[in-house]
Amino acid sequence: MTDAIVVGSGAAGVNAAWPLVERGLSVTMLDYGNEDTVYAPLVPDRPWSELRRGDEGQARYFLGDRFEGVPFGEVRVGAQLTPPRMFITADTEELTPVASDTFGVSESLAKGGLASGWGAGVFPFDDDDLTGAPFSRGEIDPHYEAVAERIGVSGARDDLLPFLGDCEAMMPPLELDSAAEAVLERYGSRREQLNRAGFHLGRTRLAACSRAHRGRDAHPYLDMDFWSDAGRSVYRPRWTLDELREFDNFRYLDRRLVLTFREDGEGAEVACRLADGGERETHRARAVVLAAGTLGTARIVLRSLDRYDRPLPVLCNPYTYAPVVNLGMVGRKARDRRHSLAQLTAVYRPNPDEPAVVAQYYSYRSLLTYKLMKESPLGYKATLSIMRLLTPIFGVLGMHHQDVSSPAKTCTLRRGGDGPDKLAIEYRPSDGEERRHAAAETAVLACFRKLGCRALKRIRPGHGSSIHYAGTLPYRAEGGELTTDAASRLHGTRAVHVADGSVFSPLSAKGLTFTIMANADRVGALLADELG
Amino acid sequence: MTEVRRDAELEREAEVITRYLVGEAPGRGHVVSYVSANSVLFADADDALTAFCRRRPFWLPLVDSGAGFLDNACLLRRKILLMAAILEASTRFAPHFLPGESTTRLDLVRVGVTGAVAALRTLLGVPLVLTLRRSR
Repeated sequence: MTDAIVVGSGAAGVNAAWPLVERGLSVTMLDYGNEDTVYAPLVPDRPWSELRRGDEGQARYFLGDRFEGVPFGEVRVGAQLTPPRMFITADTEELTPVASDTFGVSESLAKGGLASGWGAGVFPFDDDDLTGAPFSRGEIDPHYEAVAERIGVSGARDDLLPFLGDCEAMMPPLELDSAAEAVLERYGSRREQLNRAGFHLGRTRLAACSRAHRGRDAHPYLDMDFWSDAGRSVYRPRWTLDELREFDNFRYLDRRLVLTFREDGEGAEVACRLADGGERETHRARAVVLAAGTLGTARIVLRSLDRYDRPLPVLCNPYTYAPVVNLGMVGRKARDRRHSLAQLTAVYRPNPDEPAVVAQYYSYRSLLTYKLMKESPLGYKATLSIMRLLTPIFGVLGMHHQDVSSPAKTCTLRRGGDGPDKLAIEYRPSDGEERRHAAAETAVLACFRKLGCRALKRIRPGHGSSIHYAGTLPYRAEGGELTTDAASRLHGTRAVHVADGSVFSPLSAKGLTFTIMANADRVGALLADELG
Repeated sequence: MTEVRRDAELEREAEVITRYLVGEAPGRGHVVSYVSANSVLFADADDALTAFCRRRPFWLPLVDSGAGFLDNACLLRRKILLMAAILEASTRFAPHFLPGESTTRLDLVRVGVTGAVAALRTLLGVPLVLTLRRSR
């Protein structure tokens, strides 16, 4: 019998598997494992501007063979996915359906999960952010360090250090682009005033290599990060999966959709359905680690325990973005060499009684002009002229808010009848929450205005659009059905552990992915001790 | 309508829209892509605004502007956006879409003037679009 089954190959799965495999335990990873085999090989490792002028085959990967890269209609969840990234959400509408008129969902059945298109922002949590978790920053810190070394993290020790903490494994930061430099220069001259208002700005800490690391290249600054993984510089869980597959005690089984687990005297049995053919298959292990993503794990748990129609809490960072013109760039030449990830991060927390808002600044270019034209109410010819003139000073600010559970934010598994079970999601923040978010956004935009960035409008892509789902099976020391203990074991079970975002409630405004990885490493290490 | 006639209309659209956006005729490859994309994305749908602009390309700037104000996601707007995407993702027309190296103060003035002209076109385009819709 295998020591452990890990369900899912995303940010949580591979990092939970790592300490188990490293300690010599036998691990089987069950995964659906969709990949992009069509577009990835077509994208040359050349700078974006060079491809635009010289690659005759660019239409295939920029637009897609079925023009799936041309977005019509309203802004929606996952609209930033480009054709080479669309494998991330493939098959989910059919196999993991969701019913909701209040919440947009992006789930993944891809090898590497949602983090295959992750923005790579690294936000270690402080003790405040870890409210509700059974560990402090000091206790999770060794796991932050272990994961930072594993995935490669670059960043600076700047004004964000008090909010993010230090990291020994951190590489030097990636180079800033010209627009971010202009913002940071202005911040330097207004720093005291902005800090007094609770606004702190620094370089975004990123899971991207600024030097060669674990067989991956230093970032090549091609500005193609939305389209390809040149040099494997930006972290994707697939890189860790590739390393895991070099161990003899690790087995990766893809083309399997995990349905249920069932405990017995010796451990647990996991049932899955084969993607090709649809037959059912079972696997046995001494322990199971669920890392199928917050909503995927909720489905497996509710189905396994026959808790259909029983609502679970669900959280997701409220998200707003604002296109901005960066007046500090007027008259300045924009360097072609750049990356497409978030350049700068701001933490806004005017007083300790209020939750922080986290904002990230991106320069807009490589997602192409027609995607911006769509938003304009003017004639497209005029819009094109305006966009070409403004693109060098054009940026996007994304703002994330904290989320807390409430009876109006739930997900419930409904029996599917002839088809797959359906997850029904209700998500209705209170008026008070909405007002607080709007007020905080106004304050953040006012701070950026002092840095020369003027917002053109505020866009709320809808609830669920941050794709940071959490809080369905929260930590509860006192126990309780459908909650987890300090070792991330599902209460009422002996052998079932949860390693993904399900356990975090409340949800800090900082992106959760890096903390999911560190906690998965912690869960894997604890389980290795237990099985050892 | 026969398939041959439908394709001819779509080819005509491709030419009209390309001339509107970049002031040149499209290449054969762009036209083929546009026809094929119409079949995939719009099931070869047609409407009064598109048919009018196909016959009278002179009015396309006004109809596009009016439609942008009244119904930003109407079929004509989506068709223009599709053609823009096809042109942008081609080496020949990429320079029409690539941004400059910098934005100068003079560029900001140009933006203001372009925006004002676009707003004027919208004012003129709105009644035209309303008339075309009523006359259908």
